[in-house]
Amino acid sequence: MAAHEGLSATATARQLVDQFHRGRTTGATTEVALETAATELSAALSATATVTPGSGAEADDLSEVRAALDDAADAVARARSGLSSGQGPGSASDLASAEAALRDLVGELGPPR
Amino acid sequence: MKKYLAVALGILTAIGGFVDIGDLVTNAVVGSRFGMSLAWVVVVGVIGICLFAHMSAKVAVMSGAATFEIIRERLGPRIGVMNLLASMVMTLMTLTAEIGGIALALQLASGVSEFLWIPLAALAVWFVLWRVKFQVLENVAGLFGLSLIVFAVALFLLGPDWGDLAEQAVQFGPRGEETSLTYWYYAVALFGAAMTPYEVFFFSSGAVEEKWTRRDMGVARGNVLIGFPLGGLLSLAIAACAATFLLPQAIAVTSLPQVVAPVIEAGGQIALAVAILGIVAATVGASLETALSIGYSISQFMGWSWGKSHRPTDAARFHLTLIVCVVVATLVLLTGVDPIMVTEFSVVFSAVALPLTYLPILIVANDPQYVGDETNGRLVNGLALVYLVIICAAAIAAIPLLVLTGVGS
Repeated sequence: MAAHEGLSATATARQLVDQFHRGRTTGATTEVALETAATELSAALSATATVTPGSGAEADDLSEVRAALDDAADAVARARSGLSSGQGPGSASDLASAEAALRDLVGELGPPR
Repeated sequence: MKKYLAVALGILTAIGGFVDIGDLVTNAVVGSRFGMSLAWVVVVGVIGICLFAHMSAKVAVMSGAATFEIIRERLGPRIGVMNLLASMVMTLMTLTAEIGGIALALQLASGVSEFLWIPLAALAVWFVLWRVKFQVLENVAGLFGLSLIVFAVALFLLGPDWGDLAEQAVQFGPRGEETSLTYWYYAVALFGAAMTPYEVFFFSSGAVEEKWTRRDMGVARGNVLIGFPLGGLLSLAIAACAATFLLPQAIAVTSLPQVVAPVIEAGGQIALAVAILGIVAATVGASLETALSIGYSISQFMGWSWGKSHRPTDAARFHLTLIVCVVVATLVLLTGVDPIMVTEFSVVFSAVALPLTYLPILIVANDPQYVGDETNGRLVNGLALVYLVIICAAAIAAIPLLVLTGVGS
């Protein structure tokens, strides 16, 4: 579940940053989207902290999810600080890689549980 | 000519007024998670609200009594008060969601925190309730709400595979990784979003306040039967935008920036500005309607003097109720509760509370003591009974589905 929520939040952040670079959206809207994505990623990370893995394989999955969520949260934080300092959110490539990693994980893990 | 203009204005207002924060969020959530596979619920909901509004308007016009005057008369004060409490808690929840929606839309436009916008939005709602005339308030909000047509324009600009959207619309049941439980949970939520009881409280009270006569029934019927279905098409456009743009990217809507992302993609900053204007107008309009509905309903039940046209000194308790409900909604939002989450709860609880007002209106619409020779015909009664079954089923299923799905997650 946390990986799915993280993917949705990261994809949104990447989408809005990309739209910002193409001049389609405003800084204010991008800022709000990034703030929401940061909150959702933080909630997803907190949710993983409450999960107790039942087996070694599950523990591996969980640590992979946490690492991917951490990377995504860092990418969103960098975009936010760039935007708030007036330099713009930076390239969407960091967000895109974090999104791709989460997408791969979601593909491997299957439906939310 | 004046009559046609009144009909046209009424229809436009009904279209713009149909979509509120509940419709916006729920349709976008559903489109992003289930594609168009729940489009049928919007159709069922629109027919239902047309039927409910038609019966309520008829009862109000023929008897000169609004919904809660009748409920008290027919059910008695004891059962009536339970009905009133349940309906008002649900409507207050909707008001909270609407004021939160105004704040979120203004945050999207400005980047300024929603917590700064919440008190300002509430103050503006109260000021409009206090100072602005009923007709102006209804028409301005409804007409600006029409800006939400930008979602329909965006859908065309996104260039979806229309065949695929149509195919999704005729596929019942969950898709992808969604379960049957979440599918039915969102079916109930979407039904609750389309059939919010406050629309009917507002509509029937407005009919009494504006002293509608039999001659006004035609205009009212036109507004409802044309305006609401067109509003329903707008809801479908919101869902289709999400299904076209968000679903393929696995973006499940949980916030307002996601709701407008397809519009931004299709039309850029101008489209975004129009969408924000539409969202603000729709949520302001719905805030006014929900606050008035609470004031109307409580005053009608208690036998107080009520009406937007009455000066505060002439209907002090009615106006005090409006202030109290706006203040309560604001305080709830200032606790930090997520307005989108409040919206999701409010549409589900709308479905729970619906039978409480639908059934008394259906009974009275068949009572010649109230409606004279305008009792429901066989066709309307047949349809109304089918809807009674659907409404009761949705009301019974709503809370178990809410719990079992963890609020649709």
